[in-house]
Amino acid sequence: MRMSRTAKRMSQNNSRMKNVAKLNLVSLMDIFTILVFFLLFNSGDSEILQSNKEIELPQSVSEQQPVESLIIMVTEQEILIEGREVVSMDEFLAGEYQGFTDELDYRASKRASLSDEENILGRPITIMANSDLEYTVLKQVMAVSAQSGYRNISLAVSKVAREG
Amino acid sequence: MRRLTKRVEQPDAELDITAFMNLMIVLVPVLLMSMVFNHITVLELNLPDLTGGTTSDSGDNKQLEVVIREDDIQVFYPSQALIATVDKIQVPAEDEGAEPTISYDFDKLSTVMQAVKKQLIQSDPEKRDVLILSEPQIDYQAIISTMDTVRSYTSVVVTDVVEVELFPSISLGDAPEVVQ
Repeated sequence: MRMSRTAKRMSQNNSRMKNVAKLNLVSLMDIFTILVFFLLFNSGDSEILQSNKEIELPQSVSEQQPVESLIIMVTEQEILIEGREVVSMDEFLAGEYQGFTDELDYRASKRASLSDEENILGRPITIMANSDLEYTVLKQVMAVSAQSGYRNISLAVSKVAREG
Repeated sequence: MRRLTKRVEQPDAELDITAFMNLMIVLVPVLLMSMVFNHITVLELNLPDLTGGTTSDSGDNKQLEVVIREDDIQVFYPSQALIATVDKIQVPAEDEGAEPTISYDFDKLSTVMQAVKKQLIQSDPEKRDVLILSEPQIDYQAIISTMDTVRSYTSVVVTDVVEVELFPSISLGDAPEVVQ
């Protein structure tokens, strides 16, 4: 079969340039290497406190790392201890927070022996609450947990860079 | 002579990076997933002992108080003796066209606290405690920001930004009623 001129030239070119087209991966490798190191340094240690979509933590410049402790979450509708609802906000504001106290006492009784530090400071607790929570509610939450021996209170905050 | 100079054309040395690429492709998503975008930290509170009687009124321990009111922040030292009032200021909104918001002037509060610290260095260098008293309807963010402000401030020493401690031992309490 007679080939067209273009086809002839293409086949000639093909036979002349035998070597395979090479993929240039240098820049890809560069970016991957940089990315891996960046992510390695940023992923950091495993978080003790899981962020929750329902709670928008207040912003702070605190650098202090959270320690393992009982976590109380105060959302707009309810109060949760370790992710379990213990009392709804309406009941809590009305002063009916028996479930809350019971849960705290139960948690305290499960670990009856205290370390020296806990004897002085009280049992540790971390409060996660919305940034628009009113002080009265916060105070009540703290007062109730303090009654059950959880007096070493930490307030969970979302870390932001310091201005200026 | 001609034969010596003639070079055998060698194919380019090829590096086999398939294994490396495989590793990267696995590693990058794994690390991306474990990456935390908002760091959660904590602020320690120093809760006054609820069981015992009040200890704040003992003569030698003068209490530094920061009272967050609806429209200003007052600093008392010792308690009852007002030394500074920090009014709210207008903060221009970040979005264009939005209303400027009114918030507490934490920069000025910081200046006041630094002055207090400086004065106290002679009389009571060990003083680290402060009492933050808030009115009932003050929101959590304002309390946290106040705690941040009274805890420490940043200062530039030569070229380093250092955090200087003010009063890191913080207690919370109710604000006393305004005396008319």
